[in-house]
Amino acid sequence: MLNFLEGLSQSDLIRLVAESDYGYPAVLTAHAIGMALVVGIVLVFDLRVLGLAKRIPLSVLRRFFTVAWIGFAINLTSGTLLFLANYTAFIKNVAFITKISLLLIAALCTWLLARDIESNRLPAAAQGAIETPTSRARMIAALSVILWLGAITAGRIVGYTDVPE
Amino acid sequence: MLEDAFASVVHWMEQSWLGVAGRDVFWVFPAAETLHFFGLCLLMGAILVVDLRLLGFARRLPLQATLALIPVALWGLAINLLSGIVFLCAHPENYWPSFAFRLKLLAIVLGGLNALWFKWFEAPRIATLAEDANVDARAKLVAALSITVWIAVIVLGRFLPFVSKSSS
Repeated sequence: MLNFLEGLSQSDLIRLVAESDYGYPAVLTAHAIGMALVVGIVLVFDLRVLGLAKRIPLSVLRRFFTVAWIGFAINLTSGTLLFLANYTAFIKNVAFITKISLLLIAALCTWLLARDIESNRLPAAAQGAIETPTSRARMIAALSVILWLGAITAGRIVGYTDVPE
Repeated sequence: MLEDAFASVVHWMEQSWLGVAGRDVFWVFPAAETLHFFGLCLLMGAILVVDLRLLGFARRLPLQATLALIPVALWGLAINLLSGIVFLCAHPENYWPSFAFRLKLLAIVLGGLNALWFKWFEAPRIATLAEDANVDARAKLVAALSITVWIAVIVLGRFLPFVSKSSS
């Protein structure tokens, strides 16, 4: 496994990211834009479930998860590049491991919430009535906000530990 | 002249309690950075939903109801102006002389003017439209400009520390 990572980290692409003047900031920029897409859309969805902008139908707002998925793809790619550029430091970095753990649980919450909304879709929604999420959905949404913001916080702390900025 | 006036304001910010706290209290600067990311997500999330709807994505999203997300974007902007002031007070030498920082400020002003244009000239016209309406090209242009400018703000912000390091 480590040999495999070492091999990848020595590839031309990863050396370009790690060593060129603009490679690293360019990938960090992509990572920030991806974050805005994923967490931005998820937060809007969570806030709507929690009672904000009640007249927005959740069944339609769900379509914006496409945008969040694009952000997720950007961040999986840019995150992998950043990880490989300094994997020996990341692999034993507590803040990094915390970030990835929070991210996985947060993603699970968002998936559960999306499924919950889908299965509880109210028949009245079609007539333009207000959809009211279940209290279970509201609880998952609140948890989702905390976990996604927690992942961002842990990510910021990674920048202050022994990993180069 | 103008440069001197700005320099004295920057000096005053640097000496302020906020500047001192940003430099001497170890968690203040990273906390402001974290809040800056939270604000970024709120601003971009709300803006993406509103602007993409205006551009024609998810037309079944009721137009007037969607505009209720604008205050979320404003909260994000407020969080980022406040946390941004912490950065500036703590280390003005990293920001004020930097070309990337000035460009970022300019982009923020453009984004703000674009939002005011939307509020004054587009929102009143949109208010008369049906919930499933497709807005006209002029309103779409404002929406496209909004997404472009705020993404440019993220790009400039992310490059800022790298550009100012190499130039100083």
